[in-house]
Amino acid sequence: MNRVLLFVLCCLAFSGFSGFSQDLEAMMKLSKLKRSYRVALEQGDLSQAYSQFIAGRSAEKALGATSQSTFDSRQLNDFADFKMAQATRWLMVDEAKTIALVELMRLQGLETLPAGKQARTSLAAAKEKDARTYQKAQEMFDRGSSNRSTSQE
Amino acid sequence: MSKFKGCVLGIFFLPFLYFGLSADVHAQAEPKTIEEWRERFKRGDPSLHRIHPSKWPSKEELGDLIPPKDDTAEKAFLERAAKAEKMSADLLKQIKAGQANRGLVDFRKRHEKSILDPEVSKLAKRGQLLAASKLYHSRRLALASSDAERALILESRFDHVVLKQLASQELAWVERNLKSETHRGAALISLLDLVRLEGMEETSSSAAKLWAKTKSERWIREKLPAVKAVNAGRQK
Repeated sequence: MNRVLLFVLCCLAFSGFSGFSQDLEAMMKLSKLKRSYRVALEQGDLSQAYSQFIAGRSAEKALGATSQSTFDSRQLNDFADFKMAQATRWLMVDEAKTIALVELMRLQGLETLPAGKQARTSLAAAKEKDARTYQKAQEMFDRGSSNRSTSQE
Repeated sequence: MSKFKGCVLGIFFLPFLYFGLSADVHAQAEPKTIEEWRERFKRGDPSLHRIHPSKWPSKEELGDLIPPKDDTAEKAFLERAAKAEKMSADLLKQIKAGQANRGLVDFRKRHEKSILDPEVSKLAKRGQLLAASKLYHSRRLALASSDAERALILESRFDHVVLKQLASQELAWVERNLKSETHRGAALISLLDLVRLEGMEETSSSAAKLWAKTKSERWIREKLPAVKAVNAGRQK
């Protein structure tokens, strides 16, 4: 049924309504974002889910959505909070400190989420407390990030 | 094509064949001579009532013979009565079974409530998946007051909503991050927690399979002290 509707909408779009065509394009982009957001969440890929979430929100705004967002942030927040709590716990264990700091560095990328803000605060405190371990973790994280970007290229 | 023709002809002639045969049966059932009528009157054959009264011989022809008793209505009544009796017996059985299972229904309701246990949610969201799974599993088992209920709990899948969601996301997260040199330490700590989850066979067995694949990797030795320290809860 949805496909039929989409087909009809496509036909209308191609028949010269340029504004309508733009809206349709935005709607299609939004549904694609929603799908990849859901998949990323299921796979526990926080960074990917977050980027899809942010892109989805701006796509909704572009469409002029004034009501509540259709992107459910509950699962994203739950899992981000879960990872944040884990990293905080590991941070208290000497042997696992570097591992925890690397995870916190990754979490601070979730800028607008509560877990991202909390990660930034924890990292600032950790840097002040043990600059050497922080530096080691930073190097490890940067190495990982550069490897990731190289493999993406 | 010939098969098709055969089918069409078959369908067309089947009603004729049926009505023809049934007419023949009735013809046989109907006495042909007055002697036959008399003889079946004497026997008190109730099947004569299946023949329309207009086809019966006149009273003069039959003389003082008394018509056989018509038991068609009686038979129909007895059939209906037997059906009603069976139905009420079945209903009674269902009601009795329902009463016997009432305890089980109550138990199920109590069990269903546990899938939203807030304490388990809180623990899971605090990153303590293993502790949360232990708490939930022990709470589930505490609901049982008999061996039957215990068996039912172990067989049933009343997964805690938050716990299940986080565990499945965590398993996927671990699977992906084990491949990354930077994050494999964290993935290893989580993996060993997932292997020990209680009452979540699906997740823990998948984690165990992943661990079996990973444990021979060379980098494990390097990360093991951190994993051991976290598991021992060695905090400052």
